Amino acid sequence: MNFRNSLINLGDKSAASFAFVAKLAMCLIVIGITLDATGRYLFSSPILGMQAIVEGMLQPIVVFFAIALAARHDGHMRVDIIRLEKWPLLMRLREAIFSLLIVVFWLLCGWQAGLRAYDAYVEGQWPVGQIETPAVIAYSIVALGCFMAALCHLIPRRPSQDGGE
Amino acid sequence: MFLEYLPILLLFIFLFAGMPVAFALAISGAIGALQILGWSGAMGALSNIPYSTTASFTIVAIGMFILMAEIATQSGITTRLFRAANSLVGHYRGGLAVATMLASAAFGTLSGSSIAAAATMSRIAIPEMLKRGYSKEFAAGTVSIAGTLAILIPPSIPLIIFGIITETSIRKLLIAGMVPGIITVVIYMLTITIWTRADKNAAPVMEVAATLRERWDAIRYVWPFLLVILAIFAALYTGAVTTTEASAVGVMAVLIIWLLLHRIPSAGLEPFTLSGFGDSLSRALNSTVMILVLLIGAYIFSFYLILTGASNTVESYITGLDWPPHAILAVVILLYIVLGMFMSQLEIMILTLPFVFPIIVNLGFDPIWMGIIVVKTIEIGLVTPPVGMNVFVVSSASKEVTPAQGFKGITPFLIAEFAALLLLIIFPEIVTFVPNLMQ
Repeated sequence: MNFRNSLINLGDKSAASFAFVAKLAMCLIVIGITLDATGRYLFSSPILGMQAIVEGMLQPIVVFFAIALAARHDGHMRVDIIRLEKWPLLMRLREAIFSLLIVVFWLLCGWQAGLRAYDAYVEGQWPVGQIETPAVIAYSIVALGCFMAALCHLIPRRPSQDGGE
Repeated sequence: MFLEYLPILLLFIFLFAGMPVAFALAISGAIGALQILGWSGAMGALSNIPYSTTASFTIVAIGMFILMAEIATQSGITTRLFRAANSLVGHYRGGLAVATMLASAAFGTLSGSSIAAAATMSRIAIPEMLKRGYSKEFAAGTVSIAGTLAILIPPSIPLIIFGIITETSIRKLLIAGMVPGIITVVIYMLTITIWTRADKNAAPVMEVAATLRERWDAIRYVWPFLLVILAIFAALYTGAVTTTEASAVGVMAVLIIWLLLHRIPSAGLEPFTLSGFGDSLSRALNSTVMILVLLIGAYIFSFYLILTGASNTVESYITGLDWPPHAILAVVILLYIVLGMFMSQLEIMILTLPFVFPIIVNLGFDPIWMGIIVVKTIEIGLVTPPVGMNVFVVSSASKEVTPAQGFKGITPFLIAEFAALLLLIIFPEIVTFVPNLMQ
């Protein structure tokens, strides 16, 4: 039981720390775009590369670093037509199968993004002559986020968050 | 032949079994890609689609508008909006209900979420209405339907999603939502007037009209928020800024106004705290991720659909039926109304638009008009049984009305809603007039 609690705490804390970075990125997007737009329209002096940084780096951080948090809160939409509350065993089995499939999905996404980041690093794919988020950084963000999402789907949630236990 | 469409069958099995929609789409789409392209092709899609879906400047607007709504909700502006509207119209019969409608419409300009609007408004408006002897059905029905205004009045998250999926101008879609939104508010207010005249027990008490001083006190701290929204609309309309820029500047402006006004006691706003702001960020993050993972799933499934050519098959079958365009449109609208009874608007749009949108546009209907009609139709599902999310949210947030009372109270508004929908179908210019004036 203690091990299970420690595991749950680990999952919650890991998700929260990743989400903290995502929150910072969200704030930076607000500040960055506001400064860029204000600079462009009021002083004809935009911040060079702001759009590239926002879409190539900050936005992926917002999304992929917060997936783990959504996993811990079970914050995804379901159609929920077949209700299994009366059959807890069947419900657990269903959740276990779904969790497994979701974990495999995130692992595959993370693995592939990791490969893309590694290839970009080995092949020295750095943007030349233009402002763009380097592929190494961009795909590393995706890989990290996906692996964390897989981990957080794998670790059991607190009973109150689960709804089924 | 059967095996080729196995992933579609799998999608339905996953959906009905209760798998999160995003993953049902993503996993069945990935299996489809694996089946057609083999391992390396499917892995290529998985390496590319998640990043390319999220790394888009346009998509940033979703998170920003959600954050703006969360900050506005946290600031307590909803209560102020309600009081301001009440000071203007509260003395008429059913005035509190009309005030709820106006406050919800105003809140809709800050928030694109129907559920958020219904939840916050039910905590403020329902106790006030019940205190003044309004019937529970009338109170619950008013607040539930008023919540739906948020998804039509810009900035509307469903309209942004529609624009992203169909590659239609989001700026034009948002501006196009304004006139139908205003018409809907007027039709709802007419419904309230007719109902309260026909049934005096629905809203028995009329209040003494507020004095000019009281009205000024109620309104003076609300206008800065509304000014921000007007500035956003103006900037979007003139094309001075992109939708994403407007959304981020909107967040900053709402935050600054809250920071400036929260120390003034008569402003009646909630105090600004870092933990409160952090909570707004957390909620915005959760909603943004939920939508974007849904979009990642949708793009993976669309990738599979493109490989099979299923969209084209359905499109050529439907257009080959030789039905009049309006008959096909009627079937589509009926489909959306039925789906809306069981699924949320985002799920419906993501699942159906890849098939439905090309058909409707090829029949000669305007894509912007189509966006408004889809959102308006799906809106109906938010208040119809068995799911009727808004009614359940109102019931659980207020704790004083039951879902059954809510559904009973919705009926007159549903008739009004269908009348509004019919108006937009018969006169599409109501929707297209303003966006057609844009550059």
